[in-house]
Amino acid sequence: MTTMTRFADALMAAVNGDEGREAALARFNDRGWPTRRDEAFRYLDLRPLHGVDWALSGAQRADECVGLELPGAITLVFVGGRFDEAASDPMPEGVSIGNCHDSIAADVDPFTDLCLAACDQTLHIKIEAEVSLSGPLHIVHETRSDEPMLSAQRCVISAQANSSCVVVESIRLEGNVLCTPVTEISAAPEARVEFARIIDGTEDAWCCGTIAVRAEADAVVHASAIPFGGCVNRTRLESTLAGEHAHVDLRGLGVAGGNRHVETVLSVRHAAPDCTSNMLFKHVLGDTARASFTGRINVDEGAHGTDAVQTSRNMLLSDGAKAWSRPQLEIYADDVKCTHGSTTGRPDAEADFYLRARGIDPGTTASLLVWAFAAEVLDELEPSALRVQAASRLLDQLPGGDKLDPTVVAPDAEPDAT
Amino acid sequence: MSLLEIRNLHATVEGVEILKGIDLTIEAGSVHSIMGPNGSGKSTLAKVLAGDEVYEVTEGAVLLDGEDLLEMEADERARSGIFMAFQYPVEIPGVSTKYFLRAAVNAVRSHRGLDPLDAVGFLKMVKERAPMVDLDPTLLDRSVNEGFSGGEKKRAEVFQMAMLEPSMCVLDETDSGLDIDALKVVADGVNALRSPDRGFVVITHYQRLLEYIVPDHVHVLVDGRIARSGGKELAFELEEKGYSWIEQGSACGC
Repeated sequence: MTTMTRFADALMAAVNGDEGREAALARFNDRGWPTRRDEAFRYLDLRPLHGVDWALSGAQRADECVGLELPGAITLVFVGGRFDEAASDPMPEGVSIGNCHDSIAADVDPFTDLCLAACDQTLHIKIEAEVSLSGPLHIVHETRSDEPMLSAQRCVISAQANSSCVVVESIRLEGNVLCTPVTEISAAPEARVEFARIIDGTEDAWCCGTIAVRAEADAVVHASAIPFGGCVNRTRLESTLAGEHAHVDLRGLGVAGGNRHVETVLSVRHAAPDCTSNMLFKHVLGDTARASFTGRINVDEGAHGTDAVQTSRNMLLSDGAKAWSRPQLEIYADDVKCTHGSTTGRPDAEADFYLRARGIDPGTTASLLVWAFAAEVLDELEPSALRVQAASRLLDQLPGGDKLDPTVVAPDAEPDAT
Repeated sequence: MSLLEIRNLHATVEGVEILKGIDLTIEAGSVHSIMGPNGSGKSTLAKVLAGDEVYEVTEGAVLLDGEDLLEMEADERARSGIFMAFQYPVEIPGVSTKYFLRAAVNAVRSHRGLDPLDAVGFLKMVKERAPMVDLDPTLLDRSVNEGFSGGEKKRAEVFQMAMLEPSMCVLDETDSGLDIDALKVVADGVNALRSPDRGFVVITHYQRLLEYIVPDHVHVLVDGRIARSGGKELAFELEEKGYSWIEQGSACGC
């Protein structure tokens, strides 16, 4: 750690006697960066991060903040990890910014530790019991830096009994940035939370984040991670079904070209009986891009009636692209249904020929097939405006994508249905 | 100039020769039926014309309106006027039928120097032509062919044909898997599209379809070659005597 003087000093200053944050920093310093011998980092080379002397969130202006267009949304803007009040809508009731000691992220990793240590502007979203938030909460994170910068962002969503909310996080990274977003979602009995994180980044930006979910009895949580761009895009999705009849739906769509790496480390723990979980992760890979997926399902003793479905699908657009998929099941209960499936392949040649045989040029057919592959994940996003926004970002990255209209490609999104 | 001219066409799949020298000339306005036993190369001929890269053309030439068809990619052939109705239309989950079809219609229109249709103009055309094959327009809100019944898939193929207005239509066993009512609907749709500037190749295993789509010429394909050609009465003769009658006979009749 000796070479990381500025960074080490900045972290020390940041934790500033805060117990929880000191503990996180101590963990990070003790463990250091994991190597590929570490099970959770088997596919990801972290060496580019070694010895980097990051600055912690410098002063930045949100002069051209590129958020998503979500009608009716309350937008809260963070620039370089700092809240930008001028660029944000007034904070609704129950939403505040402050310190946070506790974390529901059970098994922390170095990136989560970094975030817990460095972030002193945690966004707290508390939805009171029986309250339904009318519009989506839109959290925009922008970080731009030529010098190495760590952007620690943290959001704690606490949905009280029988409440509901939709939260969208859009993260935009430009330049030499390591972003470590940690979002924790606690859903009390019968609460309903829709959460999506969309990440856009330039080719030198890293985003290594965590989404941790805890669902109590009869709660329903949908959480999606949609990484577009960025040199390395890693998402840890950790979920505990803690009360009977809870349901979590975890989805991901990663799109990568160049020499980028998309990684998903998924862990779902069924700790209560009769819970259901549905996990669907897809990657579209071109050039020499790589994707790695680790999907772990734990069924605790007594969690009978568990129904868990895990699917990972990869579409390779080039010979150089590569995907790894690793399901892990650990089951300590009877009367349990756990299924997992994984496929990796090229776009369907028969479908491609069918489309071309109707006069559609190869670039457009390729884009249509990628879109069709991705639609299964994108079509479930809430609010619906997010589907269109995500679609257009997807199409931006495809060779013939500019010829397609993101508002009408999806069967459900057809505005002029007869 | 003929609409379609096939000269000494040889084609292989995975190194096995399936078409062993096909000669066939189709004039605009005419309907040619190609019949033949299973494995004779009927569907191969359709797919070779449509530009399926699974098949390799090893010899011969195909001209569409005098243009070298074999030099064109599948999509270029479609824009130039070839339409193959698939024997097994492909299901493409996630792609809206309406979107796909508008993209196809506009690709063809642009090739013909016409302005693209907007959503309104496209829907008007859909409403006009869907009844030709008794197609439930709500099917177009679904993904391409997804969850369509066998009959719906075939009707959708003929509907697409009506929308794209090709000059050269190739129907690959459009009758397979259809009951008699669906067969009549599909045949009516095809007959409505018959016109003096459009040619048809109707590929079928059974004579039944030809009772409804009456051909001007019938060709019998045996082992990758046209073994016999004749008028529509040849189809009835085949129905009566079976393919073995030709397979055992001389290489070429009339």
